[in-house]
Amino acid sequence: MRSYKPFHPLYVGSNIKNNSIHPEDFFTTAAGGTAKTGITPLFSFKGNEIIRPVFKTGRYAHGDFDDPLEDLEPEQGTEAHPYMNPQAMKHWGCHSRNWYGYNQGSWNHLKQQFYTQYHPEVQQRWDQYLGHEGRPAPEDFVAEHGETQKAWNEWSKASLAWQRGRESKQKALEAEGKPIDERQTFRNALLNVSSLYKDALASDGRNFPGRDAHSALKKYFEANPHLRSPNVEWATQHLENLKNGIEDLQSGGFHKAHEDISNRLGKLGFTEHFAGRGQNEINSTTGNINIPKTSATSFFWSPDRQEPYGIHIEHEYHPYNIDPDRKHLLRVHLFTGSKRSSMILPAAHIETHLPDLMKTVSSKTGKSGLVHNDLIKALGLENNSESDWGFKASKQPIVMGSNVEDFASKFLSGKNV
Amino acid sequence: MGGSYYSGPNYKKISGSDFKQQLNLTTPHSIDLVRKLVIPETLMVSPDIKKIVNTSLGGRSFEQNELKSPEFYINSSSNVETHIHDPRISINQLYDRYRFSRGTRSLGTLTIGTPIHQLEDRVMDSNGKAHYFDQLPEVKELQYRFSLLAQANEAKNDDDFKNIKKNLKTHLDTTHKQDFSLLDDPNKNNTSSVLDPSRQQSFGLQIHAPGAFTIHEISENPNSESPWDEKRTERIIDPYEHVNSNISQKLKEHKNEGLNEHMQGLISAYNQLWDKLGSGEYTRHPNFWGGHTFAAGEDRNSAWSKINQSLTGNNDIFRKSE
Repeated sequence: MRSYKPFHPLYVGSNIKNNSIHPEDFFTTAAGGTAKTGITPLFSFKGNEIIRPVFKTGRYAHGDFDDPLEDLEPEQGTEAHPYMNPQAMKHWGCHSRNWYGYNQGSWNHLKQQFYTQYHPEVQQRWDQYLGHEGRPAPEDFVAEHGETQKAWNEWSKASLAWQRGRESKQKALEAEGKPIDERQTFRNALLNVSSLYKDALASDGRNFPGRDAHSALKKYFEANPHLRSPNVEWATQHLENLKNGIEDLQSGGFHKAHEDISNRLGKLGFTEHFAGRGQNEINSTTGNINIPKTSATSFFWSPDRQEPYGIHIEHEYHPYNIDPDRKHLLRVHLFTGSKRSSMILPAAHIETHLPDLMKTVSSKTGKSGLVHNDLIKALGLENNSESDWGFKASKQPIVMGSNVEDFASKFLSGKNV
Repeated sequence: MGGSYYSGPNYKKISGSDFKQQLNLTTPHSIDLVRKLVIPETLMVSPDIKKIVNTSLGGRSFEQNELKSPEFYINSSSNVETHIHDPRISINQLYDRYRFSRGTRSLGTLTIGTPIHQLEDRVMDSNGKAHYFDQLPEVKELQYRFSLLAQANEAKNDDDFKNIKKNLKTHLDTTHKQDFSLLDDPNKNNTSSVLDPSRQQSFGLQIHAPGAFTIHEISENPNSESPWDEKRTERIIDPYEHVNSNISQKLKEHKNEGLNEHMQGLISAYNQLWDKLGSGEYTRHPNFWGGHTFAAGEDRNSAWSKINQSLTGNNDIFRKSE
């Protein structure tokens, strides 16, 4: 049974199932990405979490999750383009320039995340057999032998023995023919999704997300057919959603919704024009014609621009979601000094939730001497790193004095002691 | 996937305000209250390593006979690879989970046989017992009191000062004991621990001064048939760990002191140290480093003007006397 999790803990709705992160959406979201210069993995990790990719403009939704360099290539959109033409693609000498980040090794992190979130029981089993349980702790050896070379040697020995033990457990599991996940949920899901990409995107010979994983998994399930559960119903639905999403995007769906969101946030006092030097603006030279070049996708409000407190909102577009509430999500970051808390709000909740959040931020203004790094980024002030970024900061230099006593008396003068 | 893609602390300082969070360990380093480690200039090492060793020395020169013998560290085995790391971590490094030895930056490897020397700074007490300078009780007191000047300067009154001290995170707050130090130091207590900078809760804490470094040793066991990661043994040596421990410990002991007591403590430790050096209660080693702030030939006033120069030159919270 799949478990459904509401996409936001505050979400209280009649239909949790439709308003939750679907396990397989996990891959789809991971497959989209924000295009950056050069070769960038199309999903990435921050802290312990995968950064959810965002379909910001139309061209990414077509399957060209590409770097912006492509815009500058003269052959774009013609047969001569390497992604449109298998012969030309070979000529690049690299099958996966376009899909860097989708190949096998990259799925390992995703796998761990997948199991942690959707099948914690499998994760627990992994910990038990292959994880760090029972690993010798250096402090135990210090307690016994003191901080000596002997303690170090003994710990090394015990540590190696433990690692060997773990290895033999693993071998025993393999010999029994019992994988950690007996139903191979992850591999099944990954094959479902990568097959979908293959059908939908690669019919003209282009590369596709998970290409390496796809062929390896196909072989694996050919050898172990009893473990395969294709879930055709989901895959069909998913493909349908993807197509509808692309059509919606092409017909200007993003625009209409964005304009609406922009108006409603504007009424609350948020502005699109807040960044220092043209950040948060789409700088594409030949981007999707449906989206004006100057359109911002993020908004900012601050109770007092002299203080590092404010709310930064990013408009995220998920064209493949069927639920209208999930198509347009707002990623809301509350900055209060050194702290940031983030949440996802459906656009429908702008009027009901944001005013309270604005009150919260206002009530904290002036209480911290620190500023969160990402606020600096959002405001485009990064290059100012050593200055005070325009926020209030007090700094009274210490006068050294001519000797230690003179120093102390100068230091204490003016203080209330 | 609900919620934030952000986790862990992630902030930059507003200059002038960060002292409320962080101990300022730059000061004791720059005024010779912390031992100096050097690599002889004649040896070929990478420019990055050279830079950090030079910074550690404060850019001042030394004579060959001022090196303490034997060397502080030397790697003479071809099975051991020695890296010098900058122990400070940046936000980007913190999130770079693919990096080996996540959190700190390797400045390069030391070629086999390259010694790291400590400059001779030992003194003998009246019982004939030798001490490292940075382990003298007066110096330990000064390390703590100088480190906390930034906080004292920020504080409006005694209560404010106590409160700031209470909220400072220190070296002792990290419970993760990781390693044993190579220092064969008789005064070393067994509560010491080495900070593991990859642990997020320790971020925001300037545990190492600029110019500090850690030595990372990786030994390979060529006879092992086990997989790659079992062949390796890693060890981190932090030459400044005792200083960080001392400052953290003193912070606990003196948590109820007000501003006046703090400054009186600084005056008396400074004067006591000079009294003892002057009266012969502390005798400097014959090869005591000549460039040291507390070297022979200095007195309490000339040393103060040296301290004045180092601090006003290196640290933007200090200002020359008017």
